[in-house]
Parts: sequence; structure tokens; C-alpha cells
Amino acid sequence: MRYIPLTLSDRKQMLQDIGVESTQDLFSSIPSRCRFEGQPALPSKKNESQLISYFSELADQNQSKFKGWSSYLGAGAYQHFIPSVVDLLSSRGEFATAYTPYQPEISQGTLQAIFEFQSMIAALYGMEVSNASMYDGASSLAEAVLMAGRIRKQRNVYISQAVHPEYIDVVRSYTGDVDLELIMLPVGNDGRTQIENVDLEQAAAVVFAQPNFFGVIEDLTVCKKFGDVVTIVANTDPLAFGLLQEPGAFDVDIVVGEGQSLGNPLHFGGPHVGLLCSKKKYLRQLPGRLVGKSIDEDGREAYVLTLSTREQHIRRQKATSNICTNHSLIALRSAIYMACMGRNGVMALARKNYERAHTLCEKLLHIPGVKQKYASDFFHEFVLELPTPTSTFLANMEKQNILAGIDLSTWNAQSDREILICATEVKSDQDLDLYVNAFRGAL
Amino acid sequence: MSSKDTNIQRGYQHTKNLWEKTHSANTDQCNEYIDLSIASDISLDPSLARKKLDNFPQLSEFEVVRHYTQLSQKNFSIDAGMYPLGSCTMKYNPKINDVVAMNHKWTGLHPYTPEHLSQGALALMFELQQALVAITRLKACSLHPAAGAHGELVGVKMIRAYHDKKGQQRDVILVPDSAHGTNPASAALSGFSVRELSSNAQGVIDLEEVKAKMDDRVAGIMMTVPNTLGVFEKNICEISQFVHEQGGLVYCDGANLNALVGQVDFSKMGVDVMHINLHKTFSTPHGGGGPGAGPVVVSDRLEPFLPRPFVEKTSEGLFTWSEATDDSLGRFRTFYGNFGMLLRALCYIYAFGKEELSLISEVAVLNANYIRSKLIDYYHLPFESASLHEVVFSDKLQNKQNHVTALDIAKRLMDYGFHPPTMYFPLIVKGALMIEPTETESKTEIDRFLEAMIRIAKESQETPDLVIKAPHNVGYKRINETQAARNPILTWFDSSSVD
Repeated sequence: MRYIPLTLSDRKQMLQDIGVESTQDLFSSIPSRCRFEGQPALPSKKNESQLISYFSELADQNQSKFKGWSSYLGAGAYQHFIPSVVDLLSSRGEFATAYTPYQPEISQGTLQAIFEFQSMIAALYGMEVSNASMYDGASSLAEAVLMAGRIRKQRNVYISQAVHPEYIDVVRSYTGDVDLELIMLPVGNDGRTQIENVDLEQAAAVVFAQPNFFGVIEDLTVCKKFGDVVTIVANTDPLAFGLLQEPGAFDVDIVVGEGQSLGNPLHFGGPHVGLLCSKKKYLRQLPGRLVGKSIDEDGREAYVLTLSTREQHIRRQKATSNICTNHSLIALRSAIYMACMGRNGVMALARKNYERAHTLCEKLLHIPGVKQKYASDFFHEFVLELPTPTSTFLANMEKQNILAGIDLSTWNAQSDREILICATEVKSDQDLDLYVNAFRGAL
Repeated sequence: MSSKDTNIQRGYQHTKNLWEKTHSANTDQCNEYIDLSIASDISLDPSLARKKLDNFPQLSEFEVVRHYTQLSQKNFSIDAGMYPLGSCTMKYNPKINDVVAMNHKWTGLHPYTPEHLSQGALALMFELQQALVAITRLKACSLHPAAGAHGELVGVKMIRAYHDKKGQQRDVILVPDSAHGTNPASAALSGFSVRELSSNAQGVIDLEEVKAKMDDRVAGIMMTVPNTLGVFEKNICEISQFVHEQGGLVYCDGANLNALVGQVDFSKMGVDVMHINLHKTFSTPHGGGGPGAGPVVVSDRLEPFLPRPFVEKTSEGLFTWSEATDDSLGRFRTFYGNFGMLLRALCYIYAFGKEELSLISEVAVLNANYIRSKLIDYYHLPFESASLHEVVFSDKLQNKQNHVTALDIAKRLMDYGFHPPTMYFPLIVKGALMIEPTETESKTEIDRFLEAMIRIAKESQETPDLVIKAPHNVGYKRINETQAARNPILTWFDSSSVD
């Protein structure tokens, strides 16, 4: 077996040194009643050449843009261009094959990179601190809600119906066994969250999405009205804040995000990366790892994992979260991406995304029977109402090798004529024209 | 040369941060990766627009490449040397896994691609579900969790859902004192209180201890097998049987599965749910702290409660997402799992195949026992029970003699070019040094490691200061963790303090 370097004579020598006859003797502490009988039901072993063929044949059973398909799918996972630098630098073994940096003297690479990641994420969201990463946007939001419950000991968590439905499901799963009640806030005809129902006395937290699930830009000035209630903003594409007013400007307490857009492939949904920022005064309630700045004994600038007294390996059942392994390498990829794009790149990219989606939307609205569902402005995705059922329309578009958008009846049966469409910087004018023509024919 | 430059040692190079490298001269620079020009100005209401993006770096591409290449050189990694970090299973991460996983036909696939157009991805997930069932011999699998602790959370929530469904009020989980910190933390996050079980003199849990702590409030027990001493819980079958008789369920923390692949049938062990760290046993890279993947495998008792969706195969041989059911826990993340990691793990499993999969644990256990046999004369072995894939020593001898601690020994190992073992864990061993070599180290490398450990034992006697003041030649001296925690500086622009 090519991954196992021991030769037969090595093994013989080692067994002799240990003082046993065979390797099976080393397993004698396992009772015979639970030993594994026979072989596992798996295929036969494959050499590297066979592995390559096997997995490329499987991959070929998917339809993707590499087989002449184009996609306008968004809804929490976005197609953005990824500079070559990101894949190549992040796949260096020095980064990819290191463990969590528990030994800082020999982990300064990861530690500095994550410190810089925290800095860039905090800057992008306009927040004071960011942690070192979470699993994904949805689990970050769930942890933020739990955190809000620790900060403000009230029962009600008001959550906008325009938060990604899967995020809401995850919040429900995480909070099911603690004393928090989720109360949904409706969405108005303008596509923005309505806050009239919020009872400030009983509220632990209010949760918005920016931009929201329907692509709509919320008016976050309302966040200033909530006093001591913890305000949480969830974001599925941080690049939006190259253009939109950052949540920190509205005095938001906690911002969570999905960092997939920052140089990370769609990869059928994962691994992506959860972002979690807050005001510094809530630092001790933050879940997850944090990298802080320090010095070594000779006074050299150096970085370490810090404030671990919040964490499970120290506090066990009293920890702020059970999270241990997070998504460090995806955070590193995001950092490399942000460094490549730079301040000017991020701002230009956000404008381009806005422009692409608006150009497309405008063209589509010229098609008879097609209407924009919400009146408010949007970022890079938008909801249209179609004259035909969305499912029929999507099937027709598939015949032209286009994944045209997301059928909103997936989450709400009444939305069976609504479609969520996303266009990012990767779409050329020609792409958009092709799409519009196909669209016309598919209705 | 400034006086600072004379301090340069092997490996040390100050890497300025991205902001220190951002020069005002290049702030109008923009790296062009794709056309970002726009024909006409955009219509966004200025009240919604960002005024400026402060505190964000701006570098040329090559400066970025240099920056991260230099940073990478300040990391120790399994690619560069032996990393015997107990409980973390730092094994070789085959390069082919990355090549397979980063195929554009996988990376470009949107998670909401309709199932008839993503059959390859669904097939792959189905095969991994089947493989993990085949390896554990439990009933069903969900690939949903993103990491071990995430799998624990899902597993413990399933135990709660099982009892809720039966209308039972059970709010306590039994957890051994040797458990990983994630176990009690996951139980607490699910609203359970934790009742601790004490390990006996052999480092394992006695049936009598479980009997003493069991009552009708106990929902289940979380056992790590082998436990964090690397010792098989020899009473596990009896414990499982007893817990089941009392109406409880059995959680197995699969973090140490590397000892048991193809050796143990978890259904016969009475396990109801276990999570598997694909980034440990099945070689997906640790990435400097993730992403990993923590699928859960369950017995038929818990199958109805698995998170959704997972992949099913239809009678026509097509793959499809499972429907939501009333009993299912639902979602703990967006989409379906850390797909890129699932691919890598399946690639590792298929490289061994049914013929050689058990070689993983055979060689991992052989290597650990070889290390034990060679170091036992130099380091204190707190528990003499048979070791499986890892062995736990302590600093007792060195500490008693010259106050050399596990931390000192760990730091000195760095000077010899090795990553230290896990220190001060499990908590039941004072000054623990937990060594896990895995199956992918050569005898030559293990012998070099042993030589370093033996030399450190001698240094601790003869020149203890050399050990106590280590490391000496990795570019940094010990880093002040207390200062970092006392005055946390978490971003480059942060200078404020917090109470």
C-alpha cells in the first residue's frame, strides 16, 4: 500500500522489539464479541490511475458550466471569479496539512494569516472584532442567536422572514433545547422586513439579512431603534459591502456571514466558511477561535490563539460553544482572495455585481408578463414573477442548457410563479443576451 | 544593517502584515482578474451606499504571493515532518485526494443544481454513506455535519429526539472524565446536564461506575473508544447492554477510529450513534484548523432522527434527496455537507479497498506500540493497560528531578524538527504527553523521533535549562500567551482594551 512506508522486515523487527508475535496480538484488549468479522463491504482497492478514472467518470455525470451549461443560481452560494493565486497558495502543504495552531512558535504562518483574515472581515463589515471562522453562515447565525441569549437574558428572538430559509431552519435546530422562542417578522411588498411586531421588553435579539434572501437591500437604520436588544445581521455575500453601507455603521451588535464568495468554490455546498463579528464588548461571549497579537520572549511580534477560557477544551460544558475544528483553510483562502482583490478590487467588484444584476433585470422586465416582485432595490439577485409556473419555465430553460434561477416554491408553496435570479461579474453582455432570448422562448 | 537584523536566526523572518505592505503610492491600483468596468454609473440610492472602505489592504499580486509564501514557511506541517499529535491523527494527506476534489466539474457545481443534473455528486455521497456504514456496521449515515463537534451536536440531539418521541424526560448525559472537551460542551448545547464518570486505575470505565451513576434521568452515555489514553474500553459491551436495559442510548466518539478500522463491529459494541472525523481517520487535510467533516452513523433506533437531507437510491438506480420526515432533526447547516472533504475521504477509502482497509489500524497500532516499547524506560507511563493507536506518557520523572514539564519537553522537540505530542490531555493524567504516530510514518522517521525523545530525557537530567528554555532554533522563543489574553488585540487596527 503506497501510503504505508513500513516494509515487511520493518514490521518484523518492530514486533520483535515490542515482544509480540503478530500485529493482531496488539488488539487482544478488544473483546472477541465485538470484533469485526470478514471484510467491509467496499469495492476492491484502486491505484492512483484507477482513482482518477473512477472519480472523473462520476464527475462527468454532473451538468456544470464546464459542459456548456450556464447558471444563474445564487441563494447563498455564488459564482465569482477566483484568481489562480488562491488555489495554488492555499493548497501549499505548509498551510493545508498543519493542525490547529496550538504550538504558536511553529505555526506563525497560519496564525498571522488568520489574524489578517479577522482584520479584513472586521473591516469589511465595519465591526470591531471577528473570530477565526465558523462552519458556514447558517451555523454562525445559530451561534450568534445563542450568544445574544447569553448577552440579553430575554426569551424572544425576532427573525426576519427574509433570512435564508435554511439559516432559519438551522437556528431552529440549534435553539430547540434552550429557552429561546423564534418569532418571524413578515416581509412587506417592498421586500423589506417589517418590524412593527417587535416587543422590545421581551426581545433578546432581532435578526435581519443584508442583502436579504430575496436580494433586497434592507434599510438597516432601523437597527438603531432597538436599544439594548441585540441586533444581528446575517449576510450571504460579504462582497456586497464593497458597495453597500457596512452593518457596523448602523451600530449592529453582531454580524454573521457566509464567506464562500471570497475566493471559495461552490463545491456543491461545502466546505464554505462562517464569519462572525461583534462589538468588542461582547468578546467573552464569542464562540470559536480567536487569534491575538503578542510577543515572544525576545520581544518579536508574534500571534497566538487567545481567550481560550471561553472554549470547550478548557471550560467543557460551560463553554460558549462546542466548536473546535472550524474552517481555517477556507478562511485562509478568503484572506488570500481579499488581499488579491484589495480595497479597490472589492469596491469595483461590488459595483460590477450590482450592475450585472440590474442590467439583466431591466432586460427581463421588457418581456411581457414578467414582473418584479419587490419594489426595493437589490444587490446581485432579484425575484421575478412569471406568467407561467416556475417549474415549467425552469425545465424549458434546462433544455437550452441554462440553470435559470431558483424556484421559490421550494420554500413557500404559494410562490410557485416566483424565481430568484442571480447575475455576478462572471456574466458577459453576450451571456446576458443569450439568457434573455432563452427566457423569452421558455415562458 | 540595523541592530535588529543581527538578531536573525535560522527560520526567523519578520513578515510585515498586509497593511504595512500597503503603500499609499499604489492605492489607485486594482488587480484585474476579470472585467470590472461598467458602461454607465449605477443607480444605487446614495443613502444605502458605503462611504469608504477603510482598513483594507491594497497590494500587487506578486506581493500577495510573496506574503503568503513567506507565511507558509513559518508553519510546521505533516508534509514537512512527523506530527505525533495525540487524538488528532495527523497522517499523510495523499495529494491525489486534492487533485480529485479540486476537479472543476465538482468545484463549479452549485448546491441547488437539480438532482437529475447532479447525479454524479449524489452518487458520490451515496457511496460514502454506504462505505461508512460498511466500515462501522451500523445502520445508516448522514454526511451533514461539518466537523467532529458538529457531529456530536447532531448525535446528542438525536438522542434527545428519541427520548422526546417516547415521551421520556431524560436530561442527563454520562461522560467519562477522560473525554474530549467537546463531549460535555455538545451535551450542554443540547440542553443536557453532564454527569461525570471516573476512570478506574486501568484508565477505563467500570460497569459498576456506570451503574452507580445511572438512573431514569439519564438519556445516554458518551464513550470514546479507544479512550483518550489510547486504551480500549474493555467493558464497553457490558456497559452498552446495561445502558440499553435502563432505556438509555450509547454515543461513541469516533475521534479515535484510526485504532479500530476493520477491527471492531460497532453494532456488536452496542453503539447507537457515532461521529467519524474524516479529517482524522480518512486523511482529509486539517487545514490549520479545518475544514473537516464529521458524518454520523447510527443504529436503527436512531435512523428516523437523522438530519435531512441525505441521499437515497431509487429502484430505478437514480439518486435522490431524502424527503423531510416528522422525526428528522432537520438541518444543522446549509446544503448537504462539506462535499470537498467527502470526496477526499472516499478517495482514501477506495485506495485501500476492502482488502487493505484494516491495514490502517494495524499499522497505526503497531507504530504506537513500538514507540511505547522504546520510550517506556525514559518516560513515566501512568496507565499500563494495552495501548492501541496512541500512547500517553507523563512528565513525572523529568518534573520530579529538575522541574522539566511536559510543555518544556514539547517545546524542545521543535528544536529537533518534530511537532510536539498533545500536552496536558487527557486531564486525568498530570503532565500528559499523548503520542499518536499514525500508519503513515516510516520506521526511519519514528526512530529519529524516538532518538529525539530519548535525548530530551537525558537533557532533562544533565542540562535541564536547555529544555526549560526551548525552543532555541525555530525562529521564535516562547510566545507570551498571558499578555495576548490580558490585552486582546484581534485586528491590526485594534488598540482598545476590553474589560
